[in-house]
Amino acid sequence: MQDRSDELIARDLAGLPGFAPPPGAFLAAVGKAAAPRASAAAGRGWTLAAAAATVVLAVAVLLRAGPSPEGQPSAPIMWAPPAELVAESARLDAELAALPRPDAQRLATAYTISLLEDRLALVDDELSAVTLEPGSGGAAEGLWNQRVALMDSLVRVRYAEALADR
Amino acid sequence: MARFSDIVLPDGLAEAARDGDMDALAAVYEACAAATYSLIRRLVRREAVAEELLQETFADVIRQIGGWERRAPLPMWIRAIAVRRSLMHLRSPWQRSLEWLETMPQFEPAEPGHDTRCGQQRDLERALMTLSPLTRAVVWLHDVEGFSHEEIAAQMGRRPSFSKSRLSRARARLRLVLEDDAPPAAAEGAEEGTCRTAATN
Repeated sequence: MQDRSDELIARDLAGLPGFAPPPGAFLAAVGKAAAPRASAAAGRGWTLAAAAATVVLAVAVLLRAGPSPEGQPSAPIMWAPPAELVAESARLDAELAALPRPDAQRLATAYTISLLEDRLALVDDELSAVTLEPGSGGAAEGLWNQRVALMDSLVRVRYAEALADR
Repeated sequence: MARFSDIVLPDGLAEAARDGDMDALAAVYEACAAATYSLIRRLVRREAVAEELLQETFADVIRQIGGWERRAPLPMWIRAIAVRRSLMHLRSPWQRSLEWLETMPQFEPAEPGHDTRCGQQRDLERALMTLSPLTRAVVWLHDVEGFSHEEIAAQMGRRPSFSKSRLSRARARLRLVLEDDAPPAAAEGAEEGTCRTAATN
């Protein structure tokens, strides 16, 4: 099974056996479809309340901000991540890259690593979306903090894995 | 494994179901339930949750079938609902808070004399279970269901680069786990046949 190509893995995945559906699922589905969607009605109420709150908040922010000097719209402030967070993130990236690949992969550890990598990918995806937006400094800084914390956890798990592999 | 693309509904069945005929809807369920449940089980690990999502999927089908516009065959429309339901579950804060509590599934020990194909399938099931839920969903939707990165990203509310990076990582991890598990003869031609690779939580 070594040197498996991506195509071979995909073919083998498609060849895995299926699962038999549980009995009674269709009747249960019919019952759910017929049930009044109370939660939907409640949801609409919350949506209206949230929309109203958003409008009030937006008006409050506008009133508080007031007009900019000379009546001109204020220029968007481009945000740069704190240098120490970027440096720490880069240091952890390098540390992770330097860790040896384990000879044997423990399944539970692999799952934990995959979860951490997932979270990291989600944070990176969000960072790429917000970093260039003017006025997103607070959100972006929070994401950078999350990134550093996740990288730190990932390095620790990978380091422990490398130690156990010796 | 039952595949959506292989499902052929008898003439007139989809139209009758679209008109709200409950017998026709039941027949559509019979035709699509195995493929739908198998897909959901591959995306969502916990059996009880998968059963609930199967019910929710077909409740959506019953409620919304009048809006099916025939742009895709009915089974593929049902697949889209199942995927949307499953990903909504995976993305929910409640589910994400539980991810860290999940344990690795237990695999039934190999029976003496089991064939190579069963062994390979069990290895692959084990490897698949090392992936986090979101990453496993990306792998399954791309490699098995044939979704593009753009489609996966749209379903997940992410960018295509997210799907690409997850798939790349997942393939590397699957190869790593499969290499660890590989018996010397595992790469030899496998017999076609039936074998179950049951994973239980």
